[in-house]
Amino acid sequence: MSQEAVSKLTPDAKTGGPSLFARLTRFDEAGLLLGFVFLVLLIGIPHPEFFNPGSIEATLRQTAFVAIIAFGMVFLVAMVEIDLSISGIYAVAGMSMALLIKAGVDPWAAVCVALLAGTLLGLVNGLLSVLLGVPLIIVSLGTLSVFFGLNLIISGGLAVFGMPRDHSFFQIVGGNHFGLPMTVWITIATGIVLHFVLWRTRYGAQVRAIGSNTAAAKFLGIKVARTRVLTTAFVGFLAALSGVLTLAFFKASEPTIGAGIELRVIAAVVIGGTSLAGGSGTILGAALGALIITLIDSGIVFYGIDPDYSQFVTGVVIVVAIGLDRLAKRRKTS
Amino acid sequence: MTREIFSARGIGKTYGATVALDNVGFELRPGEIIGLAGMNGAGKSTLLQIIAGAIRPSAGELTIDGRPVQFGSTAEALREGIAIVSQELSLFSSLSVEENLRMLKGRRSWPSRSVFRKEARKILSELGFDYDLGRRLEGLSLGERQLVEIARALLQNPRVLILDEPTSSLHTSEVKRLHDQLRRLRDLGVGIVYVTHFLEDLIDVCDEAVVLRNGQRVASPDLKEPDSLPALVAAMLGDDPLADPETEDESDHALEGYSFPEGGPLVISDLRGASGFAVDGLEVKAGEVYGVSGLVGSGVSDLFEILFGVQKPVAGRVRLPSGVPQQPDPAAAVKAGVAYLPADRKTLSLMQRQSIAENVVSVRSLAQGRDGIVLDRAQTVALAQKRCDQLGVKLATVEQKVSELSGGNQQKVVFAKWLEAQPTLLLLDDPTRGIDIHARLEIHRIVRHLAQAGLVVLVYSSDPGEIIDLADRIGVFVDGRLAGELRGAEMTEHNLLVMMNSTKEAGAAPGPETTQKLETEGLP
Repeated sequence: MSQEAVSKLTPDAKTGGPSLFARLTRFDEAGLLLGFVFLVLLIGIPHPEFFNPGSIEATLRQTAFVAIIAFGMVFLVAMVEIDLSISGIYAVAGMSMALLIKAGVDPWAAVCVALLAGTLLGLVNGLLSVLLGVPLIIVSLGTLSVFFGLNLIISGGLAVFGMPRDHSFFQIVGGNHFGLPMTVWITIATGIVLHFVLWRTRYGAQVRAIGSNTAAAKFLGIKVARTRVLTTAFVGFLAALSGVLTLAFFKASEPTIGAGIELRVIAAVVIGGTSLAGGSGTILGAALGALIITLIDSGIVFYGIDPDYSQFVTGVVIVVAIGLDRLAKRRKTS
Repeated sequence: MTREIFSARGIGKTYGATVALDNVGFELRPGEIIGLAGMNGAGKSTLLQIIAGAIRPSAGELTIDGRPVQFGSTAEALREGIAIVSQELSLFSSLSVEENLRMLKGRRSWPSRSVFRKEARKILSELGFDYDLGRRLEGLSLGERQLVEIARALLQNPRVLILDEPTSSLHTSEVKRLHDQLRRLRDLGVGIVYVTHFLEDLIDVCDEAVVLRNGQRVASPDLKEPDSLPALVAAMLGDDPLADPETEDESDHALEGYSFPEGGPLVISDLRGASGFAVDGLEVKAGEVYGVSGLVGSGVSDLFEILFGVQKPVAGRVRLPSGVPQQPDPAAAVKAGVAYLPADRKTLSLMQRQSIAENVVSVRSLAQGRDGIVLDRAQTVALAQKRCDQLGVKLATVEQKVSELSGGNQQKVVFAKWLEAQPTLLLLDDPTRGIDIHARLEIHRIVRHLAQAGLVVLVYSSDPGEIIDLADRIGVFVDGRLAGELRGAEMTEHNLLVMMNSTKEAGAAPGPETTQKLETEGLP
């Protein structure tokens, strides 16, 4: 038995440390980073205007709206759960905030209400899932429709314009600082904090433990149901945050805003390398995944591809990206 | 005398240096039921798998009608008329009863649907299974599934039928019907090999016993003689009990550095569970190892589940060693100092995809929150390393995945994990199942050290010898009640098996429909 264990010695445990090159290729997100660079060059070389500050800014902002929700989804997927209703929460949060502002509420107060509403909707998801004993993906299939319906009801099916763009909220949150949109800074900060939460805190370890082996987690004395509810509420908060940031930039909301964003978020998480088997997750991967999805969209625009083809191309690139990443990982582990 | 339909001659099987079977032979005549008996590891399963064509023998030959045969697969054995009802259910839970019955390896063509149904219904109703054939298996109890499995074997019109512990989940009435059916098949000239840990069944239904001990066939008593149970138990155990010299001094992993909170005794009075479980006046002192033993449904699992907060008692009082009453859920039980080590390490104990270090600290930092909100990785690794050294876990690095360890080392990680939780009550459910002998002795040593450190230890084992080795005294459960206790010199495997097997005269009122059986595998 000791032989068996010793043979599992990793190379660096024997030699005292891998070379820089080995460390770079062993880095989990290395394949993704390569894919990202490849896409950037693929678009940027024939179309140098892609590197214009305005274009970079737009790409990063679009990425941020997806990435900030994807960070939360990493926690759910690490627990072997998926929330499909985030786009509904995203829409309700933005719309309710816009309506409150229209009704004369101060934007800073409206933000708090919108974020609270998103958290509550997430909480509803979690509670339903736990109380009914049904996986979140099933519950959220229903609540997705409920939340979108709610959005149509509160908006009366009409778009909302005319935000007070000179108000400090829209100036600060909707504006640029140190060369980048505030949205991007908030996303980066959220990503760093959540990476730390997932890998260095008790809560993060509980999430990964539950995803790794739910039965064992219960037998350890982990409060599995509570952790699940907490996480769905927290994902609701992030979806609302994304919706609020979207409003801060566009200064308008429409009834169908956010439709389909849940699939982009899940794609970002999966492309990022978070295993659907649970027990693990990568925030950095999710960020790169979101970037890659945005780049595909940009590429379609820059190459002037017929919009009819764009969905098809997006799908193909996602499948290829996942395939390449898994191939790279398999080679690494063998 | 009729000629045998099947025989095994000089069967041997070695795995490397390990001899699983050595020169075992027996003959099976038409209309005969042979009972195969032996303790765990005696070689029963190996012999059955050879007969069923699942593995090839290293030596010896099998014959059918006197003609030598070699099976490359179970399908080939089936074509020769040998059907096996295996211990591991091999049914598909999302398919209907009928669909499951149709999935037979050996049979190439089928009668029409209506003829098949008629045949299937007849066999099922003879077994006492009166359900709709269209019912899906997942709605059936374990016992009902076992009947479906048996029916599937019978549908193949076997000449030789092998039953590997078919009654472990059956009710008394179902067992009786199965036995009637076996006798009917016997009268039709089928040869049957019946394997069971339930020795009363074996004596009841079999014509002859084949007893294996340490891979060899040993002399067995005549089952027709009255009171053959003790003789059968003696044959299974052998004259000299397995002597494992306790080499206490060799690489003694003292549990220095582990400090345990002071605990009192475990006191249970008038405790009642939902399924007729009842224990009154049980007190286990701090530092005592209390063995629990019993048959299927005898209450051992109820006791563990209630103490760990998985099952809610109907009535009664429990005082845990930490001084608090029974807790409503595992999370609370863990906080109250209860540590439960389930038999199923893979699915219930360890997070296989996480590192050794994460597993070691999992209870203290995740459930108890003793390391605060932010976890210090360096501290985690150092702590795990220290604990693994103390318990003698053989590993490359504590950051490797726990699934890369051998079974014995995995179990030591489970111990390390629970010791970090600073328990005052340790519930051990088959702590060395599937673990090699050396690791097993090390784990025994750990358990003794823990008792010396003042913990209350409750241990169940599928191996009666292990309970006797470890326990200071043994409580035997019969029909959900604590039927008796063995202490000191009374603690022999013989007494234990007889007491577990002792039925109504033990003084306990039997619950309705409870199977009164000897089961030595799995927590009853």
